[in-house]
Amino acid sequence: MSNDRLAIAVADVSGKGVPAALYMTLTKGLLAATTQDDLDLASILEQINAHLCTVGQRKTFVTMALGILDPGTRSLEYARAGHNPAVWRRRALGTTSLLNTKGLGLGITPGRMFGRTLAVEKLDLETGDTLVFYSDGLTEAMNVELEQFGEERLMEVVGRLDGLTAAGARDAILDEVGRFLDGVRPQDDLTLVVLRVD
Amino acid sequence: MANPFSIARSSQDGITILALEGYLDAHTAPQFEKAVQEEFEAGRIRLIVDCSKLTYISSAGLGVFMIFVEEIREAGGDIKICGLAPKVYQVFEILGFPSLFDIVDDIPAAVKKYEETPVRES
Repeated sequence: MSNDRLAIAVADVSGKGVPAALYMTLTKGLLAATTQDDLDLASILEQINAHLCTVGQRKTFVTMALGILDPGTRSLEYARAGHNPAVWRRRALGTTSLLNTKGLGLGITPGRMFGRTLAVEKLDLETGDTLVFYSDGLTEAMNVELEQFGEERLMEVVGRLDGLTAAGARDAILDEVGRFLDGVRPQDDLTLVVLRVD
Repeated sequence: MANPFSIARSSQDGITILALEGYLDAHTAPQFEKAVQEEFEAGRIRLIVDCSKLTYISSAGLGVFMIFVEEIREAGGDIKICGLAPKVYQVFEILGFPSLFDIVDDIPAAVKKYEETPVRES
């Protein structure tokens, strides 16, 4: 984006197969167009929502966690359109939390209701902080006892990875999920983006 | 093997109750969609979806709630949801459904909700 800002998003479409893939392709195009237009974060999500409501059938929707990072000031605007809450690890404070702001999924309801429900949070990041964006394939990964990996376990794992690079933290999280599944084949796809502040 | 899923239909005070049991995912969502469509087409537009025996819901399952709710509300009816186990409620909550649907504890509470708010604004 302009002024060296970066948009970071993880999104998931409901359903599976070719229709879902086409829907996600459309969403990626909308995200590329709206971020190029340099809109603010809420407007980006509102526009994508409006387009998806126009073209979509209500039963298909998209969830998205979106952050816009200004590397110069280390501030990050964050919103969650019906998506799993990102994890924020603050190394200096030793805290790990979920960014559980309010927001509806994209393509569910047009217009005012979406905008009225959407909350944008501004985070001031510090050296050593980690943000983890992920899809529900991570937290809903289920082991042989039908237990889910879950948010608590994810936060606990992220809290142990302070010394690693972003790529190292990503691999460590995936390793932990692999150990948890212990050979059970994942039922859903899994997407993970890790941001580490140097 | 497909995960088990079933729907039991009953009625009470002119309200149709769809009791879901088991796993509502991309494979079983069409069954739920068909059931809601049949109720709607038969003019039964006051629906309660009882999820007390629902063990899992995926995004495809959540999508079914969205397909008909607008038409049902335009016709003067509604879909009210009850009996969500904490893990299932969490899935509804992440997506923002509590802003869109009346979600209550059990069937009596859902029936009462129909007395208070027959139609919820979309």
